[in-house]
Order: sequence, then C-alpha cells, then structure tokens
Amino acid sequence: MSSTGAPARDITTSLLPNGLPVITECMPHVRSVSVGVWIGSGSRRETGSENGISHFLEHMLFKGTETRTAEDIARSVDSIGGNLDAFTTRELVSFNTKILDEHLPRAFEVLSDMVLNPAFREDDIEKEKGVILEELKMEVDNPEYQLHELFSSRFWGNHALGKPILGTRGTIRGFHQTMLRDYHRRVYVPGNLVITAAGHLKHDELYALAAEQFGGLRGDLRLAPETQPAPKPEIILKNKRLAQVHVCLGVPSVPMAHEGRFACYVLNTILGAGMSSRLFQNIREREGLAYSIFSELNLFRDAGWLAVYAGTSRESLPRVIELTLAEFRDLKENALPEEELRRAKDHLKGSLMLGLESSSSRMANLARQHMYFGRFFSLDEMLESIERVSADEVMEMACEFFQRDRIALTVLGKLDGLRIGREDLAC
Amino acid sequence: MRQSTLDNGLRVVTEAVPHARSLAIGAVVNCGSRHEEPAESGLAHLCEHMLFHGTSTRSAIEIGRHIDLAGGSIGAFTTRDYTCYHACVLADYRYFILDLLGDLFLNPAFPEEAVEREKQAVQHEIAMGRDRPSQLVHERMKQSAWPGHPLGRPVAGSPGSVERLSRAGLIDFFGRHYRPGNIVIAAAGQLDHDDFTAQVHDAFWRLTGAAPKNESGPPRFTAGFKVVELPSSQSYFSLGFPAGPFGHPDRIATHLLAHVLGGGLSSRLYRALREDAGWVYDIEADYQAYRDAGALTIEGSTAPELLPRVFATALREFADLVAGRRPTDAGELARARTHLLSRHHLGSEDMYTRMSRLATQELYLGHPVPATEVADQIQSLTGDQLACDAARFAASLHLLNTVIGGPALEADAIHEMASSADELFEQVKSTGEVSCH
Repeated sequence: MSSTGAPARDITTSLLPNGLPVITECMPHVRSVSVGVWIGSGSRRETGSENGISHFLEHMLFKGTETRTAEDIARSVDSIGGNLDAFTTRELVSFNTKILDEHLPRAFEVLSDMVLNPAFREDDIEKEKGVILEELKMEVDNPEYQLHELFSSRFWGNHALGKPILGTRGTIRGFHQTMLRDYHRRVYVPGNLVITAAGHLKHDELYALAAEQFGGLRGDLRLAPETQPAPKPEIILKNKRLAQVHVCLGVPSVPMAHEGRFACYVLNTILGAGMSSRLFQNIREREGLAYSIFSELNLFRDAGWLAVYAGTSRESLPRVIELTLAEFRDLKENALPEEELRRAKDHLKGSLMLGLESSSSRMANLARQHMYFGRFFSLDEMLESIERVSADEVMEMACEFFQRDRIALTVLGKLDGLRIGREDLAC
Repeated sequence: MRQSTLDNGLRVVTEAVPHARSLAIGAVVNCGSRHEEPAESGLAHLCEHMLFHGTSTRSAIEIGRHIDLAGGSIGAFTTRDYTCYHACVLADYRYFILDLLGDLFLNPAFPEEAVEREKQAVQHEIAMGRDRPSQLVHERMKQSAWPGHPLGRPVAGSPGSVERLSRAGLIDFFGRHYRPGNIVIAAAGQLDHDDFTAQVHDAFWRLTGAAPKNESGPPRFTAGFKVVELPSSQSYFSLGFPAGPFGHPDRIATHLLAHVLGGGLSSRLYRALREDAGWVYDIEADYQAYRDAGALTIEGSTAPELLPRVFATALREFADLVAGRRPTDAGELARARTHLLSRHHLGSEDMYTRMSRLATQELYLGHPVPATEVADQIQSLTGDQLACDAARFAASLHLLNTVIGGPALEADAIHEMASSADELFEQVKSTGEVSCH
C-alpha cells in the first residue's frame, strides 16, 4: 500500500433525532470554517410545470424569512465577510458559506433561517421572475452555456435529467406562492437534507447549533420516484451568428458510484484533461485548430457522459471532429503506453490531494460522498483505487464508450451549409 | 515573509506557511501588453504562450508531460502590466517546477512552425472573447477610456496585429524584457526561504542583462459613449471612471467604495437594481489598479428596453455615494470593513492568493507587505479617508466612459441616457467641491 503520510481525516457524523445528518471535519491548522446545507434533489426531480422550481426556490430563499428582510440577510452575511453561495444542479442544491471561525454561530443562524423559514412574499416572487428571465437571456448569450444546454437537453431524450436547471420562460412565469410553499414543504425535509462543515470547529458545537435550528423540522420527502434516463445520441447543428464555431461531442459513460469510475477518470485525463492530453497536444499544440479544447465527465446517480468540447472556426471544424474521432479509435485499438498511464495517474492523484486542501472543498466533498456513496473514502483509499487502474481496463472502457452509434454531436455557430451524418462519426 | 535578491538582480519573495502541504510558485515578469510598441500588439501574450512550445532541452510535449506529472495546476496569464507563470503543486515538486521555469526562461526555442500555429490558437482565443458580450464591452471601454495609450489596447492584440507578429519579433521582445531585474519569483506554502532561494539561484543564475525602462508614462482617462451592435438578447454595459493606481494611498478606500457600491448582496447597486427593481441579474462594481492608472467600473446586463433606466439608476447611485448626497454611513463602513478584513484573512488560507499578493506587491510597490499591515490598513480606515476618496471620484464624474453592447438602440434611448448623464453631472457640479484634507 502506498501511503501518502497524510494525516487521517477527522470526520464525525451524527444524526439529529429527526434523522438529519450532521457531518463535520476538523482541520486544526486553518482559521476558516466552511458550512453548507445541502438538499438532495435538484432539477431532475421536477415534473412538467415545475421545471426550474429548485433553482427558483434557491433564489427565493435569499428574499427574506418570517423575521428577516432580504436586506437583513444580505447585511448579516456581508458584515461577517462571508460570501453566501448557493447553486442548483440537476441532482442537488447547496447553500454554503466560508467564514472565520468566530463567525460560525451567526452565519449558521442566518443560513438556517433562510433555508427553513422563507417568506415567499408575492411581490418578491414577481420581481424574482424578472431577474431569472434576465439570467436566462444572459445564459443564452453565452455560447458555451447554450451549447451545453442544447447538448444535454437532447442527450437524455425527453427525460427530466436533460431539462434546463433554470426552467423555461413558460415554467418560470407560471410559478406562484402556493406552488413554491408546497414544493419547499415536500422537499426541504430531514431525510433529504444534510449539513456539512469543515475547518476550525468542534463537532459538538455544530451539532448543537444544528439541533437548535433543524431539530424541529419534520416531514417526509414527497417527490415522484426517480427514473433512469436512457441516452439518445443525436446530431444537432444549430446556426448562430458567432465568431467561433462551438462543438460538443459526447458519449454515455458510467454513473457516479460505478466501480469502473476510476478507469473512467484515467480515460478522460488521457483524452482531454491537462496539457499533455491527446486532444490538447494534437488539436491545439500540433495543429493550432482551437484555443479551448478539453474533455469532461458529467456523472450523475444512475447515468453519465463523457464529452469533448472545442471552440474552433468553421474551416477547422471538420478537422477537429476528424482528429477527435481518430483519438477515440486509437484508444480502442492500441495498447496504452505504460508511461502515459503513469502520467495520467500521477496527475489525478496530485489533483485529488491538492483539491482537498481548503475547508470549502472538504465541506463539499463530505456532502457529495454522503449523498452519492453513503460513506467516506480516505485519501489513501482513493489514491489506491487510481493506482489499481490497468491499461486493459482503460481500453475496455474506450471500446464500450466510443462507438459510432453512441456518439451525440452538437454544433453551434455560423454553419455555412455544414452537413454531418452518422456515417461521418465512425471511429 | 522574506525577500532576497540574486547577484543578477532577480528578486525572490517567499512566505513560509508551516501547515500547508502545497506550495504556490509564481514567476512574474514586469512585461505586459503595455510594454509593446503599437506594431507589437499581442506580443507579450504570444510570448507567454510560446514559452510552453519547446526549449533547447525539452520539446513542447515534454513540457506538457512534465507539467501534468506534477499534478496540481500550472499555467500562465498575461495582463496589461505583467506576465505571470504560476504553479500550485505538492511541496515535494518544488525543484521540479523551478527547474522547468528556469528552462522556459533561459532556453526558449520559439520554433518557427509552432509560432504560426500558436498565432492561430490566439486568433481562436480572440474570437472566443468576441463571443462573450460582457468581456467585449469591458475591453472596449478600456480601449475607449485610454485611447492611443498602450494600457488601453487589448492584451491579446487584434486579429490583424496578431497576424503580423513574427518569430524574429518574439525573440527580440523576449530578449529585451525577460531579464533578471525584471523578474520576481514569489512562493507561499511549505518552504524554507534559504533553501528555496538557493534552488531559484540554481535554476536562474545564468540569466543576464539589465531591465529595460518603460517609456510610456501614465495614460489620461477620457470620457466617451459608444454602442457596439451585437447579436445578443441582452444589452451589456461597462461604465468606467478614473481611479488611482495600485500604489495610491487611497487604494483600500477605493476598494471599500466599490464594495459599498456594487460588491455584494447588500451593496447599493444590487439592492436598487436587482432586489428593488428586478431589472438585472448581473450587476457589479469593481476597482482595477495598474501601475500608474486605475479604473472603477460598473458592469452588468439587462433587457434592451430597460437599459436607459438601469443606466440612469446606476449613475445616480454612484453620484449619491461619491458626491456627498448619500455618503457611506457608519453601518455600511463597519460592514464593508469587516467584509474586506474577513476576505483578507480567508484569502490567506489559499497559497495561490498569498503568492500572487507577494508578487504584485513586490512588482508594484518594490516590497512585500506583511498581512498584518494590510489588516491594520483596513481596520483603521476612517470615514474621512473615504470621503476624501469619494470627493476625487465626484470631481471626475464627468469623465464617465460608457460602452454598450447588444441589439441596436433607438436614437431616443441613446439621447435619454446622454441627457440623464449630463443632468447628473450638472447637479454634482452645482453642489460644489467637497473639501478633502
């Protein structure tokens, strides 16, 4: 066993009497504490006219509680220097902040009040619709975002996993007070929440704070059961007046907690993460066909994808696709050089270790491990799992992933009569 | 926190952080887009890219592999004032990184065909920026505010200027600027200053030559109003006002004003435009400081039909804050002070942040500033100092430089914005000068 000599993580989990988990990690050498309240359901659990409601709720929680106005919340957060951060993904919602240790009780009190006692005032709801409609337009003006949304909205066919996190203009306009209150009551329940914190803290202290604020929370999660999505690879070519042509080419991969995920990480690293990755070297360095080119894994509870993104020009687009497919082919057909495998593993291990240095990354790591794995992996355990990946496993995975009929392609930009068919995606 | 100078003039600044497992290293060259001649626009940035394309001892792919082996992250960026090569790695990789940086700085090969290819990659990068409206208006505003001055030019250059760059130009530029007196190596994390300095010496002692003088002189901030038509659904705006340079004694006061105006959830712009009116999603005020100039910006986006109202409200909020009609109150001052202070302490936990603070302080001020001193400056900031800084902004309010990007605007809308600005300037003028001690 290759031990890093890293001190074991000092993690403690306890449940409040109502079942809500409180997970902390003590980091004695920092002054900060990062604390988060996590909700274990995001946009994919919404149905029909609810699309976008998780994100809308996230916004509304900042708009005031039964005893605080929005301005009170903003001022308390601002005055302790915290950046109250919130985000909604397809599978979770997070409210979190990073503060100096002395501010923890105050920060936690505000955070809890926001999450538990939102006021949902009528006029605030209407105003927030305006804000989110502007957010939606801003996202559309961002080609990378639009490309990603186009790709993901079609990749899962009509499944909720592909629906936009923000919702659509239509669903956003339809939200109202009763609907928001109802969704909040059904979803913000002990069994669907987890509180995590990391940094300069004592577990018992946070537990006491959590018990005081969340101890009275009751209710069971009332959402339609989750269904597994089936990928539906399509070719989407969308014309838009842009300086660049943006392309996303992806295939279904393994889900988040799959035993083959480490081989998947290695495959992704070799293909398109980092400066020595094949796509970076062959498309950017050797041919100068793009500035931004990389591959990325998007893993969910029961599904996932691996996608290649590039920003290029109309003339270079066919060549970028051709070279990407050539890399797919090579990874399927030719044995992975030992040295390249070694490099990818070292890269992953280094990123993993550095990625756990701050209190905020550990706080998020605690929540994700709890929600996706139901247990905590030690650093050494994860490093070992990376180390165990073999060249054969990576090749098997490449053979499973990279098949002509499994490839989805989205292109956004000035197309000038571009035609790409399934037959052009052989690899 | 310690500083040493090698015999060749290269400066080393470090901060040892005992419990860190990682180390952030930066090699900062006092050479950015502002050091370019007009015909060289984009050269500093291309030079930064080209250093990764091979040395006399390593090919580009070997450099890439070397970098990925270290895990962590290694990269580089070019600003108007300087170029920074940075790495965050586990502490064991310290010499590994210094050795690589030394090689990049001493032996770059600038292979001819790689230069041509990288010019193409930069063209793609420029195109990417053109597809981001908020970035585009920001760059255009600076261009328009500092016209004809190198500080106003976009860092990456223009498609035309990049096309004309050559290998010979690169070699000449590199030779002139990458000189030891022009370079600061900064590091924060698990290290020992003497060991670290000895390793920097091993990697960089062969570098020679005197640092060049920068002749460009400070730019003048110019008023302006420009509309750039873009195929976007929102209107993006960048409003700029002249502000002090990095070394200005009121730098922290300006940061505080920017925070009160548009820095967070309780800031005035956020309250007025997003919370009260619901007109914007994105609204922010920011202060950017360079060696001999600075700008305070108000930026955001809104629906085209709301633009004149958003513009007028944003300007009014700024004028109220700086022209004495609704100055920072005691509560705001206390909140903003605690906020900056907490940010400062929280930032200190991140090695990269510490390293880049050291590097920029050394570069701009000639010495690193102890963290406690910065904290004291924030803590001791008084209402009078703020009022004094605000008065300076009030006096130059009429220098507002605006760039709007988005769908074409009706003549009426433009007229409405111009007159609301003029009206405001008139009012501010009539309230008279605020005295400043």
